[in-house]
Amino acid sequence: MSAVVSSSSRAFDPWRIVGIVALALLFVFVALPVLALLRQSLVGQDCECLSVENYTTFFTSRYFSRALFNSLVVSTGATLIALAIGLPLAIVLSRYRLKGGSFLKIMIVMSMLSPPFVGAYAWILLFGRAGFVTQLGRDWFGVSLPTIYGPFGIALASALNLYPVVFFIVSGALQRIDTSLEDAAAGLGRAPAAVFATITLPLVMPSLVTSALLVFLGTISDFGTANILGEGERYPVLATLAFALYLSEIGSEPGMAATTSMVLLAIALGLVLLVRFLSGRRSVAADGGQPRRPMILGGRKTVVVTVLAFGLVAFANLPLFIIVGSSFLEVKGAVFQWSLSLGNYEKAYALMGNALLNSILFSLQALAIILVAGAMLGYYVSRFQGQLPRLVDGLVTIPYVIPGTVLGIGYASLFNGPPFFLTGTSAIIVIVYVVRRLPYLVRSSSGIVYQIDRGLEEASQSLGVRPMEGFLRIMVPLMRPGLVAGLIIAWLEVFNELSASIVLYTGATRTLPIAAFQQAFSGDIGIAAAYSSIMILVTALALLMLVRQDGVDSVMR
Amino acid sequence: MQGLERPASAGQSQGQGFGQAQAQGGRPEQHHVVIEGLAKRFGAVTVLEGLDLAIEKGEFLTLLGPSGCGKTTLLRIIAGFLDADAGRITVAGETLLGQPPHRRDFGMVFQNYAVFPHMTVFDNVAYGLRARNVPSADIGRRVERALERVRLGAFASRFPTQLSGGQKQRVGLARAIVIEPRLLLMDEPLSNLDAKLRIDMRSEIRLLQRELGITTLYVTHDQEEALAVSDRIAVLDKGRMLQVGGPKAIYDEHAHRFVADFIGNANQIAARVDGGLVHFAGGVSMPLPGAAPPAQPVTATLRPEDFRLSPSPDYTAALPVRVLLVSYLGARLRLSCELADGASLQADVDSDAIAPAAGETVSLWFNPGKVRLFSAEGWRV
Ligand SMILES: Nc1ncnc2c1ncn2[C@@H]1O[C@H](COP(=O)(O)OP(=O)(O)O)[C@@H](O)[C@H]1O
Ligand SMILES: [Mg+2]
Repeated sequence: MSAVVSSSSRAFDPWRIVGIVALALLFVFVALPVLALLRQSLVGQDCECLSVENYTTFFTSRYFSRALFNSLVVSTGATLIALAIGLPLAIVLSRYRLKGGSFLKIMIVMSMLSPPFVGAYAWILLFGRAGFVTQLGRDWFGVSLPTIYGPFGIALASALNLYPVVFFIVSGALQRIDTSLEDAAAGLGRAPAAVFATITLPLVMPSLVTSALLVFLGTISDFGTANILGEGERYPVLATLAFALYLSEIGSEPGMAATTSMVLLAIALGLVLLVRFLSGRRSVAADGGQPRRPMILGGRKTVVVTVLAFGLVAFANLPLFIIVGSSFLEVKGAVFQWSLSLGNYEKAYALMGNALLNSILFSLQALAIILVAGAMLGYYVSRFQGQLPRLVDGLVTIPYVIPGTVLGIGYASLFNGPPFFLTGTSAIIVIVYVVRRLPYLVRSSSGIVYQIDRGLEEASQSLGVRPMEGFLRIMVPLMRPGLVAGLIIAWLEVFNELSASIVLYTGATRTLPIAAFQQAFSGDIGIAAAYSSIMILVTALALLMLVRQDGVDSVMR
Repeated sequence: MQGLERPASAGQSQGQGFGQAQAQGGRPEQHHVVIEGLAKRFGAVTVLEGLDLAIEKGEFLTLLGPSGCGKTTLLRIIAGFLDADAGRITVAGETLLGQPPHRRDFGMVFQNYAVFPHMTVFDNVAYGLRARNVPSADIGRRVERALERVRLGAFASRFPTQLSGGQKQRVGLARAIVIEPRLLLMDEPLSNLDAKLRIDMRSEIRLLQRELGITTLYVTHDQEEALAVSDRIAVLDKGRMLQVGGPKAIYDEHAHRFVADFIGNANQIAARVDGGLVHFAGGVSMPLPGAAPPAQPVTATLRPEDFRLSPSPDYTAALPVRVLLVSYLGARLRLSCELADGASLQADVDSDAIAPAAGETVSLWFNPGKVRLFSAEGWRV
């Protein structure tokens, strides 16, 4: 039944051509940049020969190994904090019916959707050297608060941005657990806590590990947060170091930037493979069974749990309110004043140039390509078997784990020269957007294709409709919900993209996130707040669309 | 291939089948669909081996076999969704090799309906006509007629989610017949419906097929369904065609031991042919019904309803058995018995007869002309 249309004897198969074209493009835009970096990292420092010299330098010099160590510390910290927030929230919200539970869920999504470095910037506004809270503590209570700059700040800001990943993945797993398993354990005389430890936790462990992996990867590849809260060179991590090295090596042989990128990529890929290997050996699929009905808690407990949950989520959402609020405050000499003003927006508008327009244009172009390519490839990799679809599937997914900065550096060094000459064009930004976020749509559409009866297409073909036309008339309408949800998520990610585009932009192709980042890093705090608020507004609009599409759950699953 | 050529009786029964099809206008020398030497493997597993089959114009031919014997695979190869490893298929003299499914002009009805969920019943049925660029006035007329035919005239503007399983399958049927296909392929179209509906719908399908004269290849694993609706039945087992013939031939003149067992659960009794006699275990023998084959061990088959408790002019031979269990089935009594060699045997006798008690030894009388003999390889001798 699972036989796949094999087309060996047929002269012309449009899907084969789709596969071949996709493979060729993915090879150029995914495999080649990585291979180019790999090659550069293996060139000797003084000769044009093959050498591991760069790697020796990397692992022996304190300068480089410190960044590696910092990256691991920050990512581990962020993962632990995200688990500490996401797991309890998931348990509470999937087990108990709280007042305002669905509002809480929307707030949780919201804390994920603010661009990570904006969150980092907000923490500086609160706890930085001239932050509201810092000043409050110093001027009113005479206490100096621990610094937000450095590892703890980076880990916290990243975790508060990424804990929703833990929440949604673990919630999904908790809801899929067959309740009879837990009931059986309880019936055998186990107390609730013991049931949780011996039954529930082992069953959701694969999801927990997956979500932890995603948080770790998200943190280690994030460039903006670490750069802002690590103040660039003062607390370097791999992503910021690679970027700094790339800037300093422009024009010369980019050996160390490439080496740092490869180390970063190796960590990311290695972890993904490790988790695959671990979870592949022990599959605890618990589908089927009865979905769990949330319980209603008794009086006092409800209040405590609700207040805690809301408090936690509100804290995570604090950056949004801080940024938007302060963007309307007057700035005098790099300090916010307690008076309302639209001055920040006026200055922001004057300095904006093409940034907003670029962002919108590039994002829309990228999304159009992501939509078409994602729908077709999602279908292709899930309906066809064989080498080609598997290869396409693999290549399209890899950018998922390539840190944006690494991809950006790879693009910059590969497409600079002939035959591409893409550096500095808007095309290269659009392409990097597409390559980074195409996996979202490929996944969400292939997930839906798996659920659609193959017989529908066969029926269409037997009725005389060509395969491509059948795809458009039968599959695309049925895939629509998955496509729309995936598209909105991709829109958020594309519009807020920073890590790769900051490597690739030129004056003419500067985008809003880049402008906001530059202002936040070393510019006017008021303008940074204004730019960030505009980004938050766009994000919130997309979120609204997502909620209206009722696609939140389907995407998060 | 073996199934068609080796045993004389199989050829005989095939001839009978053709006769029936001829009555509906087909010419035996020019078959509508011809399948020759079709073979298919999935990796190391051979699913179809050297399969031959001819379908006459206007005929209702059923592919019958146990689950996993390769029926769906054969149907999907004919439809063009799978490629065969060897063999060829021609329809009306034209080869199908390399023709993609959408050019074959075959209607298909699916086990799980495959009704397009985002289209109304009308649009589902019109789908194939639109692909053929039929003028829209004609589309309306033809869709309406097709829906009337499957008694869904009032449901044209409904969406599939508002229909029951039987109604969905009627939409599937209307959608397949409205394009007036050269061949209608149905893969267990009724197996998702409940028993009562299955029986109603199979007669509906049969009447519709006869009325429209659509050449039909129907797949089922249900022998009763096959016997009830088919002009001819092709019995498939492990990718081999064991017998092709009319329902009566398939039931009475099985070409292979497997057919005897699969259709109507015949008793299989170990015996030996020697010197013009059949010797059963326990010392009973009877004269051979036909020409004497060479001496060899054989399996004799007799259906449960072939036995009686007393002799009569035709019922001239008897097997001594020990009765183990007597179950009352209404009009009949089922005796579960044990033969002299310990093999079990079922006999259905008139419930008016004086019932033997469990443990009693009785003689079961039968008509030697009903005995079929099969070689050790399973083919009829
Ligand atoms: N795509 C496939 N890959 C491997 N084996 C298959 C495939 N499709 C069918 N088979 C095998 O071929 C045999 C026949 O399958 P099928 O034609 O579906 O049988 P039926 O329809 O008679 O139940 C089965 O053993 C099945 O497991
Ligand atoms: Mg089947």
